[in-house]
Amino acid sequence: MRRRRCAAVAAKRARGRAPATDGFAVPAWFDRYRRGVADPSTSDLLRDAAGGDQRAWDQLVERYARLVWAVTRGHRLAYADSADVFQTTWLRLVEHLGQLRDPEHLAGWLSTTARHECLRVLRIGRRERPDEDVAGGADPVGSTGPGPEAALLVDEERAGVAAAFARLSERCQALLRLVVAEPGLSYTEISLALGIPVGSIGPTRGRCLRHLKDFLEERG
Amino acid sequence: MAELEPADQELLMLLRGVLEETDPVPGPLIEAAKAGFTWRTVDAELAELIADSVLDGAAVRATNAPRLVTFTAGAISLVIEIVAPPARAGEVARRLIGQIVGAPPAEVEVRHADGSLTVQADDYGRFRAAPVPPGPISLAVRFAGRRRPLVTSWVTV
Repeated sequence: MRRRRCAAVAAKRARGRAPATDGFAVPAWFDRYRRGVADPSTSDLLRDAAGGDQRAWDQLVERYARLVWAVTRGHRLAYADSADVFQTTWLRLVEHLGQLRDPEHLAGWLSTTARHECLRVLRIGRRERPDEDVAGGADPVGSTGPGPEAALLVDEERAGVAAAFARLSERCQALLRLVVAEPGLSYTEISLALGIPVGSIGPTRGRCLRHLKDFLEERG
Repeated sequence: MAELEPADQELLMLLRGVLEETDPVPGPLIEAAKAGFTWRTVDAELAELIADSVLDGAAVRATNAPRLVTFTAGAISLVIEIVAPPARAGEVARRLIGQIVGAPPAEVEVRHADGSLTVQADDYGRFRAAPVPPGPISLAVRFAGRRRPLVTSWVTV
């Protein structure tokens, strides 16, 4: 084990100096793959992305896209505005990669940044923008709940959950989106992302879950 | 989330699956976020967003008050006014009117979702740029002489 770790450290040091094996350059991700770390840690990804590694950046986007989307979709924005906030949040991370090395802070940083952009966009009130082809998909404008696609859910149980969720208040929808979003947020991060006191998250979550279950039961 | 009952946890897991199915992150947005990495700058100094009149302007705000956004990096500050066309005019592009304070003559590149446009600031650091499509923007400022270029934080306009 010790020898392996030494090899890893040596490989890390060699990176950037055109590491070569049998005459072929070995990219950073392959190096990790070979060491048996199939799922690189967020701190590895942050460091590699800060160093210019597009592949590491792509993985960060994939890992945290759901979370950022959950924040923007919980803010009563038109679809095009959600799309812009999503994009601005990631671009802002591009510029701040150098300052943000602590993986513990990434989820909180992304959700707080997304929330601030949501508020900005809400204040500008830029609804004049036509909802053109921004997302190239379903466009549930004016509703943050699941759209008509819910009807397509083959599984009746899932369809029931979708319908019940759509009946929840916006506040409950926004909170539950964050509660289930991956990677999970701490109460403090949820509080920052929604602008509600940290102490009210537990009780609110309990109340929202109760409503969800009530609506499910009503449906039978 | 440990204090949840198993039934509640199960319901939340179900909800997670439902949301992923009914409201997935649009694929084109994920691709755009990945492509945004090409805007990364290595040699530039970051000018942080320090004020935005839409957020700082409290409750009293004239309906058509201009939106002012301020960035700073060290002793240099950059103020831009974002002028949006009137609602329902069928036009969406914004106009930017800006000024760089405390810096030598500069060239300003407005980077936006569809590309970028470059304008020259005058002797007083003033510049205008249009049309700028709505969405995220960032300004990259290159100075005459040896001073390091500067990029602003991205902001939605």
